[in-house]
Amino acid sequence: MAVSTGEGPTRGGTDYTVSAATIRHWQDDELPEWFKKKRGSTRSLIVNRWVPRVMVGVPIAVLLFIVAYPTVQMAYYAFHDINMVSLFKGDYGLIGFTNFERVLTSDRFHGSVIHLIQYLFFGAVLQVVIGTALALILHHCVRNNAARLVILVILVMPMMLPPSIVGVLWRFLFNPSNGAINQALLDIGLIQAHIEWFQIGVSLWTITIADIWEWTSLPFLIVFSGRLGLPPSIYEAARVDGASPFLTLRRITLPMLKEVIAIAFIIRFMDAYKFVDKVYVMTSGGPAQSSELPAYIAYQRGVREFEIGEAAAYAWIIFLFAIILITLFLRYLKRVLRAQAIA
Amino acid sequence: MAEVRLSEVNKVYEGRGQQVHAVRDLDLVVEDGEFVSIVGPSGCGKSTTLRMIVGLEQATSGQILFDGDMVNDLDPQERNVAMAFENYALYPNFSAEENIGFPLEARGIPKQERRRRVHELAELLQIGNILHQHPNTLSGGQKQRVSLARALIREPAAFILDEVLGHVDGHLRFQMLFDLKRLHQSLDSTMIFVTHDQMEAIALSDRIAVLHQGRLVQSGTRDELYDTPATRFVADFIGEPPTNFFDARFVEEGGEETLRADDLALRPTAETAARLRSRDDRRYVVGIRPQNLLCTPRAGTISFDATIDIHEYLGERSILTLRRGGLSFQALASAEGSWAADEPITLHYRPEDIMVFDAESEALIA
Repeated sequence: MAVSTGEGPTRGGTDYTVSAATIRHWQDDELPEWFKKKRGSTRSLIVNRWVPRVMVGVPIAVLLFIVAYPTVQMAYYAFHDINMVSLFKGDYGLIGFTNFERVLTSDRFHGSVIHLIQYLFFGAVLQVVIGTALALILHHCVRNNAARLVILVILVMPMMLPPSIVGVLWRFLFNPSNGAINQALLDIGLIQAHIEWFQIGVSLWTITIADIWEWTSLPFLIVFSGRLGLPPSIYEAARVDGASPFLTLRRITLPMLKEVIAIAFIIRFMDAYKFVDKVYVMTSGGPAQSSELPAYIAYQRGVREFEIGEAAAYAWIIFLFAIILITLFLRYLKRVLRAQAIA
Repeated sequence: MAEVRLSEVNKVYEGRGQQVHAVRDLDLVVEDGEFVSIVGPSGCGKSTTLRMIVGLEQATSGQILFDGDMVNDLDPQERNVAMAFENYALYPNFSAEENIGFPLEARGIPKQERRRRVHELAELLQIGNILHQHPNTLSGGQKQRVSLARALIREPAAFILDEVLGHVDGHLRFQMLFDLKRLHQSLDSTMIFVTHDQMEAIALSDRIAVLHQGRLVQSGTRDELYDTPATRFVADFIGEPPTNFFDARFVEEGGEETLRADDLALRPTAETAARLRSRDDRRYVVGIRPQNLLCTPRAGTISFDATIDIHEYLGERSILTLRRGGLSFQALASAEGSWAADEPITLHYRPEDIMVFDAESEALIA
């Protein structure tokens, strides 16, 4: 029979409200030993009220400087007739939406949007789909933790490489005349002649394959950790309830992972908008601009051709599209979470 | 409904180079329509036993039979048992209705039929008003009812209830005990109930199986367990407050054969004394239930004096913690009496209420 020893500070009555007056410094000799041991230092945890403000303030200032300032500056450029010549002359005038008009009406931009959509669907979406499938298969088929870790490390390896190096690597592999991939396909008899991997209509697919190879492991990791977080007892309940593995996947696993999968989508979609590296390294947008994406054109126009105003307009358009897409995603996430009464 | 029979079942967990023998040579029969509780302290193997019956764990050796058919190698999907889990294990992304209907969905029963049966059962369990809610918005008791409903929705060979009242508090627990009892009576189904709380087991079961350190110590009706506990452990585990135990010696004092523990001499019945006399041992463990230490004399009782240490008032009765010499023990007293600490008291017991256990094996001798 436990007899409580009512020693030490206790909360009086049922009044659990804490007012400023009830917060006080406990003297060291009033505190129990275990608490002092856990706490470590004898220094008070209460700090000057300016400490938290400074701690939050500094990162905010840095963010303002490296994010907000360039964004505003970019908006300024976007509305001015500014390129290398006018920049040096120092006379560039306000031209309103002309830069935006130029971008939105150009065939080059239209082409790149179609390329982007193709990349989103066959790059980003496939990465998430393959990554999810791999994660669930690994979780289902490999029960041993050590084996899981080994497979995990191997699968995540591509992501560890610098994107531009991956681009160079795959350019070699896809080299039409003496690349390993053509040679392999020839050797196993799948094709009779070399495939021109970098011709019009194929080059973007080639880039997409390289990108899938590199980035599938990110959604894979996200979904795998999400799957690990699902309570095992629910799966036991499903087995006892007589659910087949397929029904369990369709009705339980995937619905419970949908927030996690949505997050993987958000991350890959964000990256798609700023996808420049492999385009630059593998095809430079070619041939005949057939593998250009909006971010690559913005880079090309701004950094290579010094059409700063137009590049800024590109950047702003990409920015707005990204904002819209992410807002939709987040709203969806919030709805899902609210439906389950988590948020 | 079916008879569940465990025969020579063993379970050994292996991991990190060491073996844990969780269940040893377990023989247990749960007859068709019977309500059997498996009780024991944490880690006694009761949950492992139950998981083997359900099929979530493979028995290392032995046979598990449903109506005479061996089911050892069947998946839980194929065994047709229903289980309610300790932590509810509700599907968080489903509403209560979908949760309850899921076993039917898994059997391909059409939506209309599912709906009808879920609503019927929800009426029975009084959860009709929360069917549209998700588990996260339900209270513990509501979750438990939904989880029970999910188990009850189909007609399985047996219902397995794993600590289903573990997270339900006081008042609601009595309500749920009542509901379970009523359900068992109306469904006439085989139910196996696992709990660490002997009170629940006593309240619900036709028969109770007590597990201790992976072994079945005793199985029987509550009266059998209460009156003739097979070992000291059962005597300690069944009954609240727990039985008082004394290390005692069997001696002859002034022509009387007594069991002496410190300066307390307990008089066994003639029958018990005869049995003790025939043994070589002199050292025993004597047990007497607090309920059997009376404050008022009755026919055939023997008395001794003690001093009150602590008085716990429980409403309809009181628990007295007493001392006599170096011994400390408990007795149940009526609430009306006025008991104060450090006051003397005279206690009475009947010789036939004394339980004597072997000091070594802790088995009941008489």
